[in-house]
Amino acid sequence: MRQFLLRLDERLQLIIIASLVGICGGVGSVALNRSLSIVSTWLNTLRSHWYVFLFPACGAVLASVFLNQVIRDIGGHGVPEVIYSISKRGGLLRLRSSFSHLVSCLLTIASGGSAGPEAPVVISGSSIGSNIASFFRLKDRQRVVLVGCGAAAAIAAIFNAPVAGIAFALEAILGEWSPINIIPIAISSSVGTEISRFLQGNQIPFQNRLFPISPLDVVACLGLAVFTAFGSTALMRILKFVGDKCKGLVSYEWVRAGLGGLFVGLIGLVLPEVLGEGYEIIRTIIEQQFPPGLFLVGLVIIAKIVATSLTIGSGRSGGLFAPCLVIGSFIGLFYQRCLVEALPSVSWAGESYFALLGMAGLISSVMQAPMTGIFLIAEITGSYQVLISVVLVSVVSATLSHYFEPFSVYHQELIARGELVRPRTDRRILLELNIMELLETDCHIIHPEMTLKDFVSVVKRTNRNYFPVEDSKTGNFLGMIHLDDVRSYIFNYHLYDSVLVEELMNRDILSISLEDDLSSIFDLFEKTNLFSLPVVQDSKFLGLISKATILDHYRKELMVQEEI
Amino acid sequence: MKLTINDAGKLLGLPEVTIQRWIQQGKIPVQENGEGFFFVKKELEKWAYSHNIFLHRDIQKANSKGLFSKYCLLDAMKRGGVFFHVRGDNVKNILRETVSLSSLPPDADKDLLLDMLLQRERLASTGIGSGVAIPHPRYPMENLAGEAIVTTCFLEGAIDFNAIDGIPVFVLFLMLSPATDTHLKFLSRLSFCLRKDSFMYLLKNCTEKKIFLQKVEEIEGSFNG
Amino acid sequence: MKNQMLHVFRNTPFGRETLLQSIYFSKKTQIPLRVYIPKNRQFLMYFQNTVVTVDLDSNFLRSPETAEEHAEEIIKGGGLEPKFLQPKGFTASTLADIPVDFSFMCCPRSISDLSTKIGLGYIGPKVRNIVKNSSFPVLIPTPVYKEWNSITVFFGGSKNAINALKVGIKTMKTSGCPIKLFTQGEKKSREYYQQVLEENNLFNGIREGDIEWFFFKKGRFRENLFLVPHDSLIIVGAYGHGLVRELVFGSMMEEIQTILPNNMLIVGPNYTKS
Repeated sequence: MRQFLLRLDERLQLIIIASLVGICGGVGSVALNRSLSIVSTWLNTLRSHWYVFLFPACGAVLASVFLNQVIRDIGGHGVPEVIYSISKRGGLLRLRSSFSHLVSCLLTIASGGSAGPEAPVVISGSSIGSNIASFFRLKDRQRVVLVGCGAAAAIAAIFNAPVAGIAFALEAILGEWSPINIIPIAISSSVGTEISRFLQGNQIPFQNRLFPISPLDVVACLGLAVFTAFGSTALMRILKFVGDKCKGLVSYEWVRAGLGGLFVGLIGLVLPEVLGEGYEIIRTIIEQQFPPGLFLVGLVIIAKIVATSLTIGSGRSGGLFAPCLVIGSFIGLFYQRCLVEALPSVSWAGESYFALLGMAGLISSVMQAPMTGIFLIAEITGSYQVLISVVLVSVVSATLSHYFEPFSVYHQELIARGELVRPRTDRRILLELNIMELLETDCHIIHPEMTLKDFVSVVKRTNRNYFPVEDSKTGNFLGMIHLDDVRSYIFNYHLYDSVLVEELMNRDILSISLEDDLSSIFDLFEKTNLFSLPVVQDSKFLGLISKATILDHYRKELMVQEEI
Repeated sequence: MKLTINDAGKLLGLPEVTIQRWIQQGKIPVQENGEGFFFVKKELEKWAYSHNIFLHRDIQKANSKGLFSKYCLLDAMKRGGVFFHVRGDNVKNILRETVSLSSLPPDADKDLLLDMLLQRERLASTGIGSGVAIPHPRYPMENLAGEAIVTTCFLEGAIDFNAIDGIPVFVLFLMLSPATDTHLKFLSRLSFCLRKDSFMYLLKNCTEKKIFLQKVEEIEGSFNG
Repeated sequence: MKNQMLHVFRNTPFGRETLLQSIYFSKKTQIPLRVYIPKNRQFLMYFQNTVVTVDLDSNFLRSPETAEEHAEEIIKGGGLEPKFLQPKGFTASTLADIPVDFSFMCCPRSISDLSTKIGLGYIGPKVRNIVKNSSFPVLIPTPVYKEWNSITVFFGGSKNAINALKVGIKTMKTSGCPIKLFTQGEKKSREYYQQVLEENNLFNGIREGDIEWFFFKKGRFRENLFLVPHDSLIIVGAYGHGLVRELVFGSMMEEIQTILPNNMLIVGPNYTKS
């Protein structure tokens, strides 16, 4: 069967396999969703007991133990790992990531942790895509597309939002919108959505009523965008702060997770709205049934931000989408109530309108992915009439928050380590080229005891300008002669027999080793102002690297990376 | 037509390692059979065209880039001819006589050639000393059928060429080349011969074409070694 | 990392024996040694088609302050220059990426279980994974340092066996140790194997006396194994035949590693000559 598949046209292959990935990714999402609702329903029956505030702690500890000891799948909430793998490792992901995060996230959220099921579902979908690609022995480029397909299917299935899935995969995960990627991802996303609808029914999570909007409301959106920008900056900074502090304080992961969960549980005692995914709360807001009062809303916003940071910063097993939606809708609510307080004579649009916009704004800012935000909100609320406002808020909020936090929450970790590399950038190309490919070995080697006359006859025979000098007995690299340095002497035939190569050569040559990467080599070129540098390993001369050859290879690499 | 990874590398002007990496990353269209990877030439050409990458048309041509082709002075001299007792009493007449003797292609413009030779003489004398001159046109001639011609003329009487050392010229070598680098190559070989005392002696006393050419062959043989 | 040998150092006396073995191997094959001292419980190796997660047992991380010092001492004592590997890529802050373009790698029989628990007949799943996916042969050393003076290659005619023999011949050339070729020809005749050898031009440039061929027509494989010298390096191909066939008929490598305590160099199905 594998053989049959491989004989098809590449694009057709990709489409078929993308559908397969869509099915698997969709099933994974649905499985998590179902289990979440089942477990939380069961746990809800125990909510009246006194020890209910310990639940988040227990859940977090169990999740941490499962992830770290049982499955041994370390590493954040995982989406950075997917991005890293795509940009540097041709999309290879570990198989265990397909299910490990699903289980641990189930434990965390069902017990009340403030996180969402999206990031784990993305990792699981991506890992499924990657391993299916490896199963069919596909090449790196196709595997990368399939990882994107898996992510798209996962998001599409969880939110019943196919376009949001496509936008997320292209914007956040792959980082490029090229035609070759869009088709398989679109297919996978649609298949994932279909699976979800088939298994769970076609429900729009936050169906709302139509509401009248006046132009004044649209203008008011700009103010909301400012609020959401601040909200997103606050969330990201507190998240980072908590994460760093936790790592410093306690070294055992499960203790960390437990403590974080404990604090969340305590907060939850006072403000139960803060626990769990929060979709119920959002529904309440959209139905405009949240209890009135400005102060309460403000408090909830802060509490939710803190709770999310504690859950994710300490135990690190959950996604940010859902908390962003909750915080966003609360910010919208807060803003609307402020407006009503400030200018009571104007008939502002309802709370649900601003809640929607708040969600859009916050998601766009935190993910630095305005398209995803726009499509997601449009699809999960089924309302396209507010599209103008949604677009306005998303774009303005994302742009504003860009000043404070220029990178999305997923990319920050990678950038801090210097590992974020986008396709078709200079860094990417320099990473791909390696020294062995650029090495020029057709050099004429000379020895220190040769006379100027011998050197001149060597120069006559080659078309090179740099000559490495090697010790005749040990073969060790001693230095180099550059034609420019000796230009004034080589025509002076009186010196031919009296000057030796070792008197002419330059001994302090900065050399490159095989392990250096190209960016550092370029720095060296800048520093020395030379056009060629020698590559020396274990004191042996291996060849030259010259700027001209690098240019040739660089251009070809760039042209090959471009999609037609 | 099937190509190996090595062939593909040569056509693209890239090392094998790069091609292998591209195969693994899926950037280049490749096919696989039991023994490994291979390319189909037409597929590769289409792919290179769409990506704007230059492909050498031929593997042999790609291979021979950078190799200098053989420059044989003997052959050039044979093509040009060796003449004795050439008459003329001044530079212009001698050159005219030489041009008419030398075996140029039938459509060559002899008047133009003579004009170019005289222009060159006016710039600087081609008498390089010891009675030898190497007249050549200022610019390479286009319709020379791609191969250089060296016409050797032993003069009946020595002529004043305004040479560097003032010595009248008794032998001249008319050098016609299709390109500058060919001209330089032949010039260098000729000057190598002229530096040999045995050659100069022969020039002064030679009366037979066969002996002359034999000597050139001998010297060129040692040069090639 | 081409033309280098990877060794993952365990800072225990057991690890010392393994390192000594790698040093000896490096000297005999003239491939320089590169030592990695792990800082975390896991590291990743990204091969062409899979990523293998290597979970280390806690012994590998014991007393990190003295690890480098000990390793340097042992390597210098063996007459080589100590060279350490600093991983450049990180999948997560605690997950290092180890490059895979080495010429050889030294792995103990198990890398994720306590060394005290394993004995003959056990090769851990991580090590198996590495062998299956790597383009380099994997050296499984004896528990205690033991020098080898000859090379025994098991030749069963499969593609991996041919690669094993190629590795053997290369090793013979650099180390000067003679090769003993072992073939258990249960169903096929000697001529069949001879033909395979000739088709692959394996014996080009080999002198008489460099290779001794032991061809067994009868007798049980296990018993014939006694003829393998105790101080011989064993080279064998692995995972050459399909999974089903291996389960049903048993694989040569499994039998060998159950019975022979010698140093073993396993050549996997993805072996490529560098």
